[in-house]
Amino acid sequence: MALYMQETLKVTPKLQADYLRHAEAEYLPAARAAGLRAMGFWRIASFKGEPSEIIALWELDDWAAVSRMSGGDPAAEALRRWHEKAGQWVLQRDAMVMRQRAHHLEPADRKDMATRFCFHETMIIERNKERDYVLGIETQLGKSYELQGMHVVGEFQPAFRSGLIINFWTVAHGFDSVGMMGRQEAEPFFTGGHWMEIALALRKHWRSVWLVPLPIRL
Amino acid sequence: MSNTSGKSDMFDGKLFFLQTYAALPGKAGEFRCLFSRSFAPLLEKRGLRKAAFWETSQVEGPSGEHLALWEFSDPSEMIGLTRALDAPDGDLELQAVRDDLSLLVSRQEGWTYLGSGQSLAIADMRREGITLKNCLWEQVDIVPNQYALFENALRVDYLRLIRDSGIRLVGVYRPQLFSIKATVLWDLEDFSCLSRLDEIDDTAALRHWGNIALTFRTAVSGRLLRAI
Repeated sequence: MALYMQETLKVTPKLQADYLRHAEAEYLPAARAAGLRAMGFWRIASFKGEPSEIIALWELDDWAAVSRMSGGDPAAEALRRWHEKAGQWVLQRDAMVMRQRAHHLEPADRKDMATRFCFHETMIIERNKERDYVLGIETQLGKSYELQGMHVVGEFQPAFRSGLIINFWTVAHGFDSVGMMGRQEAEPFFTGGHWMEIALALRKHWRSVWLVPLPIRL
Repeated sequence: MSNTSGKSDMFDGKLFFLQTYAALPGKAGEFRCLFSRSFAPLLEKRGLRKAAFWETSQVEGPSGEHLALWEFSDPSEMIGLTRALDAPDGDLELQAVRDDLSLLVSRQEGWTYLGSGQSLAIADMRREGITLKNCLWEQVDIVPNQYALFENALRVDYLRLIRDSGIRLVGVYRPQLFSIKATVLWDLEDFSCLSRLDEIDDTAALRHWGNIALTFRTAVSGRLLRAI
């Protein structure tokens, strides 16, 4: 089973270009050698959140890859050296292993996600309702958002943190899509209810941000 | 002999000291070096026995985080240690190294942990071949007053699910003076044995465990740790 790693980095905007130059030259080769496949690097859009925050998404084959990354082999050592060096740009780093929970993903939506504007949600889920929430997104909200050009590319459940689902959506119209959030109409795929009413039973609260793709060649 | 004191003996007699440090960006190497060469030997001189010194894995948890777990025998040792560290006329050498360490970290904490009766002491770990080289460290929010039932369910229901996986339960602990926090320490043969969790990921047995666990815990989060 493939695994995913969400990496959250805090890098002062002034230093981000320099960080990305070095990450492209040093981090990406080291990560590839250790079995990590980069799916994208984004910065949080300035109008809703903290633009010093960078989110990177990675794919790994399995737990054996996690084991190799954590061992003493040369690839793991190179990664460790990079993270130590990256301290000159990175004020804070956090990583989270996740499993993909969405069942109906279109490969085409994911293909160029690294270059796409994305919508990212950290959902705080009611106890033991993670799977129900994912099902609700796939059958309800996801269908509705597709009509607006937003496609779910990931509904990730952290392997070691309960009560969380991370949603990744690609957005068709970039910055122009921002306006669709917060409108008051009933969602067309719901019969007799708004998504927000359904969701109330499944989640407690959430943080949503818009992600701007960063200039790094993966 | 049965306990006639009226006190709970669930967390009786297994005493640990956990230190958590967040090294400043780019300072992890220097921090590890100073901790291992200077600070740890001074704690050992005071009778603490090192169970493990770990760093958080690159894939799970904050970078630069380090945990040290120590075992000690008697509460008086911890009183002696805090006096040495914190009193103006304490152990000046120990305090100087602690202060040097503080320049390399953004956060540091120390907690006394009480191990449950079934938790392994260092001597038990050695006997059972548990090295603590690769570990999963889970922090659990417990439903008040449900420590014993939580540990029992873990040992009866969850261990059955992960039998022969290379994942072994080392202990269940609670921080002193905290009534709704527990910590569960697992020893992993290596991180690839976590694939067992994928095998049971979508089974009725795991969902059943999830429902049982709801009774005793409200949240859980974990760190993958690698010994230094």
